[in-house]
This record gives sequence, C-alpha cells and structure tokens, in this order.
Amino acid sequence: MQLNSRKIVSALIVVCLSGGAAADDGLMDLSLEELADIQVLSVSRKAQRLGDTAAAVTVLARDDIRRSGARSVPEALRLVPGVQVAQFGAGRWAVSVRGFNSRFASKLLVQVDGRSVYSPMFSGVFWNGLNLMMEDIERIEVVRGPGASLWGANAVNGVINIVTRNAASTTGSMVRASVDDRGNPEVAVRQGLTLTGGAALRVYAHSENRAPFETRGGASSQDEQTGWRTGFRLDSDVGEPDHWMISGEAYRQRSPEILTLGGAGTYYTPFDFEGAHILAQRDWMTAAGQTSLRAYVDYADVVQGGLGDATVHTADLDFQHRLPVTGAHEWIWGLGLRHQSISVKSRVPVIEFDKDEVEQQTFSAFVQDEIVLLPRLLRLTLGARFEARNMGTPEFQPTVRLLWSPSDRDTVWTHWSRAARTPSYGERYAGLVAGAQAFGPFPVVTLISLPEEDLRSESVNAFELGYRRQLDRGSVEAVLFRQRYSHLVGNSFGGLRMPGLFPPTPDVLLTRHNRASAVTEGAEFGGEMAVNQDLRLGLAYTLMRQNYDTTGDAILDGGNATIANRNANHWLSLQARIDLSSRQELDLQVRHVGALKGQPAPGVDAYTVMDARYGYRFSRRAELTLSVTNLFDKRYTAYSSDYFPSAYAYDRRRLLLTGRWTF
Amino acid sequence: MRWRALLPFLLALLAASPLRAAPPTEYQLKAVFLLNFARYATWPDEALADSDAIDICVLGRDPFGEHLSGLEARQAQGRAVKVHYPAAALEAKGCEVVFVAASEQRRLNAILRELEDWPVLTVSDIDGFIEAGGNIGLVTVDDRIRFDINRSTVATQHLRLSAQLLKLARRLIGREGD
Repeated sequence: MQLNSRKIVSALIVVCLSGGAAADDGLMDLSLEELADIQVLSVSRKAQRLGDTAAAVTVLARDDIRRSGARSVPEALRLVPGVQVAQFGAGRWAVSVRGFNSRFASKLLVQVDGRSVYSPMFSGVFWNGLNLMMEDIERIEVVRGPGASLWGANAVNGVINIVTRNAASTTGSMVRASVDDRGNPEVAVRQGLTLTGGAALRVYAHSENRAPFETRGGASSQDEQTGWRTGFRLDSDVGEPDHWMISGEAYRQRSPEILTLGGAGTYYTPFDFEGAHILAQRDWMTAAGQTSLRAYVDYADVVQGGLGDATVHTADLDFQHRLPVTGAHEWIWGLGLRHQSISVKSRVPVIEFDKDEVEQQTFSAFVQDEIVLLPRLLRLTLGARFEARNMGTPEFQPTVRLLWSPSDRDTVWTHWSRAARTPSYGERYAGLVAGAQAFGPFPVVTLISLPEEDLRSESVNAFELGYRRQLDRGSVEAVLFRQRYSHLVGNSFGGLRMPGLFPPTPDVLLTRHNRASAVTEGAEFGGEMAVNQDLRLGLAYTLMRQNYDTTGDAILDGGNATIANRNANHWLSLQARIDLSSRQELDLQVRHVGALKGQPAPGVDAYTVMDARYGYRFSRRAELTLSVTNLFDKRYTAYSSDYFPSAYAYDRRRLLLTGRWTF
Repeated sequence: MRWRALLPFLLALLAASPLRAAPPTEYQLKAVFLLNFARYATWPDEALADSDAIDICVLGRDPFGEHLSGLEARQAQGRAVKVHYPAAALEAKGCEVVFVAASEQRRLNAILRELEDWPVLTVSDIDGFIEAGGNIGLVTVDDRIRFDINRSTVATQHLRLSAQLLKLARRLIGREGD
C-alpha cells in the first residue's frame, strides 16, 4: 500500500512537469484561423489581477463555487486558506479568519454587494439566515488580516465580499430542482430580461430545505433548515461608463435547535430569520476620476422561539472617489454614514437586556494613497480610516503596506495595520446565562454574564509578510502573520447574587471588561494549478496558534482558554477538478481539520472527509449533478455550539441530485 | 491523516488524466495573437517611418514571460518586431501595439484616455476592454482565444485593420467613422 501511493505521487509529479516546454515557433507559423482553433491551457487570472495587491486576498470565481458543490457561502469558504469553517448543525456554522472562531465570530466583516450582513447584536453573522442563491454569485473575495483602512468597522481579522452577478449575464430562464437522499426537495427559478436602453433585469426565488444532523445516539438533532429568498437586480447598460444598479431581496429562514440548559434539561427553540433590503448604486467616470455612490436600507429580524427577538433597521450611505493618477500618487477617499436602530425583546431570563431600544449613528471617513516608489518595483500604500459612533471619539485605523515586485511574476508584500472593533449591542446591553458549574459547596450554580455599557473598542496590531507567484499553469502563495490584540472583552468574577431564599443556591455574576489580550500567529498556503486541459488542482493549508496572555484571574483565564480552544491549529483542503469529457465533470475535495481541545471537554477530534461531485451535461440547456458530501460516510462532529449550548451534532454521508435547465 | 485514505483520490486523478501532449498556455498563444495583430493592422505613414520597427509594448505586469521576447525573432509587414515595457501609458505613445495587462484593470480608463489621440493599437484581455474604449479585446471561449473589435476607436485613432481580421472577430462594436 505504502509503495503504491508513493508510485502514484511520483507519477503525478511527472504529469505535472511534462509538456511545459514552449513550442512557440510552430505556433507563430499558423494562420489566424488556425490560431483561433487551438485549445489553450487557461488558468484563472485571479492571482495576476491580485499581483498588485499588498494584502492576502483570495478570490473564489463563479466556477470555483459551482464546482465545489457549495450550497451555502460557508461551504465555499472552505477553499480559502486562513478561513476556519466548522459546521455543527444543518444550518449552524462557526466561520472565522485568523482565529477567535465562534458561532458569532465578531471580528469579520461580511458584505453582499457592499451591504453589511453582520448583525450589530453580536457583531457576527447569522450564517443560517444568509440563504443566498448560489448561482447568482459572481465571486467571493476574501481579504485576510485587517482591511479596516478601506472597509471599516469589524474588518479586524478579515473581510468577505460577496459580489452578485450583473443582470446582463443572467438573461433567459433558469430552473433548478434538487432532492437529497432523505427526500427533501429544493427549487430555484430565475428569469432574466433585457430591457430597452441596454438595461437588464433578473427576478428570482428559491427555497431551502436541508436535512437535520444527528445526535451522538443517532437521533435527529431536529435542526432541519427551511426557508426561501426572493429578489431582483436591475443593471444599466454594462457598456456605458456611467453604470447604476438597483437590487432588492426578501427572505425567511427557520432554523430550529435544541438548547441544553445546564441542569434544567433541554429546550427546543426555532430561530426565525426574516429580512428585506433595497440597495442602489451608481458608478461613474469623469475626468476627475472614478466615483461610486451606494445607498441601502435593510431590515432584519431574528425571533428566537420563546426566548426573545431582535429587530435591526439600517440605513447606509457610502461614497468613494478614486482620483486620476498624478505622478507617483493614486488617491482614494471615501465617506460613510450609517444609522441603525435596534430593538429587542426578552421573554425569559436566559437573556436580559438593559436597554430595549438603541439608535446608533456611525460616521466614517477613509483616505488611501498608493505611491510608486520605484516604477515596476516598489510601491508603498498609506491609508487610514476614522470612525466615530454616536459622536464618540473616532477610532483611528491606519495601515502601511509595502509591495515589492522583483519580477512580473513574483510579488512580496508586507504590512502593518491597526484595526478596532466597537463593542456590540449584546456586549453592552445583554446579560446572559453563561453556563452552569459546581461552585464551592454547591453542586451547580448558574453563571450570569452582566452587561457593561462602558466597554471600549477591542484593537489589533497586525503584521503580515506574504509572497505570491504567478505560474504559467497556476499560482502559489504563502503568508505569515502575527496579530496582537489588546482590550479584548473578557469576564471576571463580579460577586454572588441570591435569586431567592429557597433553594439557597447563589448565582455567580461575571462582569465584562476590556482586560484580556492575546496573540494569534500562523502561516497560510494556497495554490492552484492546471496539470493539463482536464485536471486542475487546488490547495489551501493553514497553520495557526492563538494564545491569551495569562492574567492570574482564574475566571478570566479560564474563559479565554475556552475561546482559544475553539480553534484548530491546522486545517487543509485539497481539490481536484476533472473534466472527464466535454459533457462530464468530476470534482473531488478532501478536507482535514485538526482537533479542538476542551471545547467543552473532551473536545472535538480531528477529522478528514472527502466530498465528490459528478456533473453530466445533456445539452447546453440541461445538466444533472450528483453531489456526495462525506463520501466515506464518516460520522463526525466539527464543533460544539457556543453562546447557545447544545449537544454535539454529527454528520453522515449526504447525497444530492440536482437538475438544472436554462432556456 | 493516513495516506491510505487519499489513495482512491489519487487513483481517480490518474484515471482521469491520461498522459498526453500539453496544449500551449494561454499567454503563449496570446503572444502569437499580438504578432498577428501587428501583421494585419495599418498605421498612418507619419507614425511609422519606413525604417521603423513595429514596437509591441506591455503596460503593467507582464503575463507573457519568455513567450513575448520570442516574437523579436519574427517580422511583421517586412519590419523588425521589438518588445518594450514602458513604465507608464504616456511612454507608450510611440508604440504600435500596446497590450494592457490585467494588473492595470483599475487604471484602465486613465490609460485609454492617455492613448486615445495616438495611433496605438490597444489590446487587452481585461473584461469590458473594448466597451471602455480599447481597440481589440481578447476573450477565452471554451478554452480557445477569440477577439472582439471596437471599430469606432480603431477609426478615431487612424488605424486600419484588415478585412480578414474583422471577419475573424467574434464581435464587432461601433462603426467606422463614428
């Protein structure tokens, strides 16, 4: 067995190396007609476009997303180095970049067409509510490390930009129907239209219906996902330098789960998400540069069964101006204004709010100058963002980036950045039951984390060194990072409270403060290569460690260790995209994630699973796809729910048959 | 991770990818397209004196590597072919063919404005290049290289393209004399 696999690996290397020699001479003698008929080994030009960027950026193109078989955004993010993705229920995810993984990972900015989709409640994303129509995503851009100078609040550890397709590229009709091995059907429809004056419109709707995970004992976790989303996008003529776009959506999603309430048993509660938004954007070119203006209003409501609900209304205005290049300088500046009103209701004392309603205004301004120090060789970027909430002191978030291009194919970059995250509504105003444990003579007491309105912002000092190389047949990149966090929110012992005289058991109170600090450091590797016409390989590998500074405060150190232990110290994904014939595609993906220690004890084991996808195209109009997640039916769990504790949920093999017609 | 678990994966890869002659890479072929554009375009006499070489210039990060310098061994319209890498668009005004590399996507509009008054044939594979005012846009369709032509800007820059080139274009936009 050992010998065989070694043979195969060396054969693969031979495949990779053969056929690299140039045969330019023969080509130069061909006529234009003949040239037009030659098939080329095309590789994605992502890395080349990124060649000038002094940041660790990965772009997932539409085809990458399609061939990964991803039915949700987190699944697609598994292909990106540095992004930690843990699924612990049919719709429950913990997604983070560079550490602090959590169900409500708070240091990540996620936007769809420039519209922020993280909830100010937790500064995190309800991934289960983000049931996007995957076909309509043009690309997903992932920036690891602070992107605050350009993108702003929450872009402490990274930015995920989801860009949907221009309506001009989705003309005609599309119908998708799928059914999984447990009989759950899903349907999506889309109609595109070309309007007079070159404008284009699409309207779409789709349903979501995903089977539940299972408990350790094999029973259903009762966390099946059901929901729908419908919307439209209207684009002006793509050929014009003055372009405008209007889009709108409405959605609903039901995502139930069973909470474990310490000694009080279990509690079945559905999370119901609903929301709507409308967005307009205009981009235009004048002699004074490139300008864009975007405005949106957004409504998002989360109802958590009998526990409570939270409604957020957002109005946002964003302006950006890129000046024409003058000498060695290229300036960009922008302004942003966001108004949010948050109103909450609590129905049980598991979560209680100090304030039921909050209005917050955020004003931001940024400026960036890209300076060519040595033409074609050395480029310096200086940028800063100022952000103030409710007339408070502005947060100053600067960045210094240096990009060196020793050749047209190699890029080396380094940057130092500071970014800040303003405390969330939940951190400032919500008191919640943080757990239950033995305490002194009492077998079980309730831990209650108290709200703290006066929390200050968390901040990070980040350093990064990266290298990217464009190959004839692909690209590779390697990034080293070290991020030092200060003023992190933590909990310390804040006294006892007797809820009643009988039974005489105290509640342990925890107070929140900004006294925690930590370091996250690691390395990220990414690569893709077209071995030949029919085979492309992709790799993403991350090594990471996260350590909090010890404070000597047992409760604080214990809480911090719990947060750090939710992160794996390495994870890998490996993909192969194979074109078996002009009609058939085979996609294989292996993903391995290292163990999580003590999360809660005894933690989560490392796991390796493989996914496969087989696509058959009957004609240009019809295709059938069979996707198998977890091909070898390994029973595994990836994470244990934080904030809302629940029993471990396990996944098994899943099959999905999808038919797609375009006409 | 045990290697044995990966074995079916590797086997599937091998089965799917029989050893065979590799096709040219994208930029190997695109370099040859540039040479052909130089062969099938006509520049005003005052822009191209009898003894001049045809200058093919690349703006931005060069995606061609050695494949472009290989063109210098060839001739176009009886003239020598020279490859240059100007640092800025203004320095590319004397070139006959300018390839705008993908790295210049953000600066595309500025570059095209600086070149629009010069008899320079602009070529690029940036999306929307001819719509933005470029002359020839290279596109990859089904792993084959095709090209689109903006006839309006070709005419306003006092260039002429042979009928054969126009016939082979995938898409023509604009009209001569616009």
